[in-house]
Amino acid sequence: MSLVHLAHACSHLQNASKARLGITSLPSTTQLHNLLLQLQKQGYVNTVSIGGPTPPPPSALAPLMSGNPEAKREMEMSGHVAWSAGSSPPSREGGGEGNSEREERAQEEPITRENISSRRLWVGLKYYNNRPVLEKMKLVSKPTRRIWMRVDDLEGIVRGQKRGYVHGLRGIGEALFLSTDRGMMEIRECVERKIGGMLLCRVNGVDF
Amino acid sequence: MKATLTARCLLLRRAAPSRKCAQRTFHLARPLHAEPGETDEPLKETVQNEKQGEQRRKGEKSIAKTGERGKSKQLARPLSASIKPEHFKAYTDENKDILKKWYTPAQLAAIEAGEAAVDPQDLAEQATLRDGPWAFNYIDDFAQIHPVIDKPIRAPEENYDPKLRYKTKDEIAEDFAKFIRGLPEKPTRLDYIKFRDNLRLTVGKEEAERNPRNYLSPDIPKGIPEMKKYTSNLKEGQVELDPGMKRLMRQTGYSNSEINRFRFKILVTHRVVNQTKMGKIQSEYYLCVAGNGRGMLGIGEGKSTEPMDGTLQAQYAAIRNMQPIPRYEDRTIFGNVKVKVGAVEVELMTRPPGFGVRCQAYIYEMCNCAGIQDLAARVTRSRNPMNTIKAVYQALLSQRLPDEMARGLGKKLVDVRKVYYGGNIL
Repeated sequence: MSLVHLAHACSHLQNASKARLGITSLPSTTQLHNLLLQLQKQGYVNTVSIGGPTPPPPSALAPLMSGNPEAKREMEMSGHVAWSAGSSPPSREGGGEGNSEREERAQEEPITRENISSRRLWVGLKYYNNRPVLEKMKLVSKPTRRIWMRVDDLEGIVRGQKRGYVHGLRGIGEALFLSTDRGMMEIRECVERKIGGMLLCRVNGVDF
Repeated sequence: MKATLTARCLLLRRAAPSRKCAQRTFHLARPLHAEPGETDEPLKETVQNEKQGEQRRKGEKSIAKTGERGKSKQLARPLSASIKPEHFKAYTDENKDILKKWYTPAQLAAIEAGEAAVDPQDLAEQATLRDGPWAFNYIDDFAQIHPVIDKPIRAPEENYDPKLRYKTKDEIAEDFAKFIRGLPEKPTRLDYIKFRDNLRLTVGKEEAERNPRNYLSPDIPKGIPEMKKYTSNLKEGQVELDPGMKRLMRQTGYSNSEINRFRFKILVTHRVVNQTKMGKIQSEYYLCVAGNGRGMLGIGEGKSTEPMDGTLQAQYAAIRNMQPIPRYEDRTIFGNVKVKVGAVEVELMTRPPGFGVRCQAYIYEMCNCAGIQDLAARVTRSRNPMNTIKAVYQALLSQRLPDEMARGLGKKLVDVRKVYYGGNIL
């Protein structure tokens, strides 16, 4: 599990939101896909979909529209699949839940051995009041120094206290994502479920 | 000169149609040639009245009288519509008899020759008011010169005498002696008044004393309604505001008393030098913060060679730049903020009630102006005062609001204080 790719993704999302892009793409990896789904669950990004080198059609970006037969046809033709965060986390690392659902979806996925290398994750970015909702994104663990924490430390961080070298969540709309043995999670969810893990990245942190 | 003024009015009217140019209604207007009421009768008959009036004309009152009468009538009805060639009829014998009483035969001959030379048609056409684009929009006596509107009449330059000097005591005594010697047998008070008025106090050109060249512009006449708005209508004890302040009030919409209640603080002062060809020009730079103590804060910069001017510039700019700053519970900020300006890195930290403003002086003064009571701050790397202030201002403005963030994330936000404190929150 590479933190280098994650670091690149963080920078790219920051740059894209600075450039006020509506949609951008990341390399299609399981880790990034899970992270994006978590971001979508928390409301930081609009849409997440797997697609080819060209941006997906608008229908593929709107999960609510997937019930629309016309949109469905369009999606089938283009080979895009939209995942909504609530429905199914297609996590390969933790992956206890929704396996059957994932398989069902996988049948729909036209991801084949031929095209898998050209797949990309298409992310719809959000803006509110002329300001990006996802403004900053930064690694907490570094490739050379990974940080794991237990629940008691995570609780402190959620309350805004400093733990080790990790600052507490003191910004407005700040979130921290962890990699746990139950999949990728937001820190508050970890505290709720009493799960520790490796701190991955921080969104909208108090920083320059 | 009258025509140029009217042309200026026209230009103004063309350039700004909504703007009204000054109407010369205040100027005493007199009938141009004949009074419209009397033109219905043959003009020659009015000659009689005129001749009778000639006795009166020796006293100047009659002019003013006809003037007033004419004004009211002319304004009511335009002249041009009423004058026709038929109105100008030749003198009858009766008229000529009357004329003989007042004019010599030579004058009468000249009058008759003049009568014969002028065609009544021309008179009727030319003695009317103009219309078309160059028409005057007021009725006026162009023979008179108004000292304010027209070019001021001044005594000629020749009236100046470089050798003019005051009379000595002896010379004035001599004048008195002359006056007393020349007195009639029964001197009256009038004689003395005449002497007093005509007595010259200087030796030299007479005009230089009586009608000297004056280079000052004439006074603005009083009692003209049009001029009233240009004069100040300050009450007793009221202080005239300086133009900068007036402009500020106009731009911001704050009243003078509101501005006086704002908090100001000059935080940075230093001297700056501009190197020019002529040498170094030194001036003072000022950075001022202004706030109302209730969430508005602005910073302004000013620079001038005059210290007072620079201070005012900075103050006014600060007021002009005032912006609302989000305050949590009207006492601290929402969450921590970090901002970098130049090499200055500022971190502002939200704090619980009663913590106080524990930070460096510049930030403390800004909090004081903005009305922030609980705050901690850290300034790392450079601590340049100017950039520190700018960074803090930027940090205060760049706060994210929980409500806004929740809307952005699509989450529902509930303020639990409303539950805990029974809704008694700010």
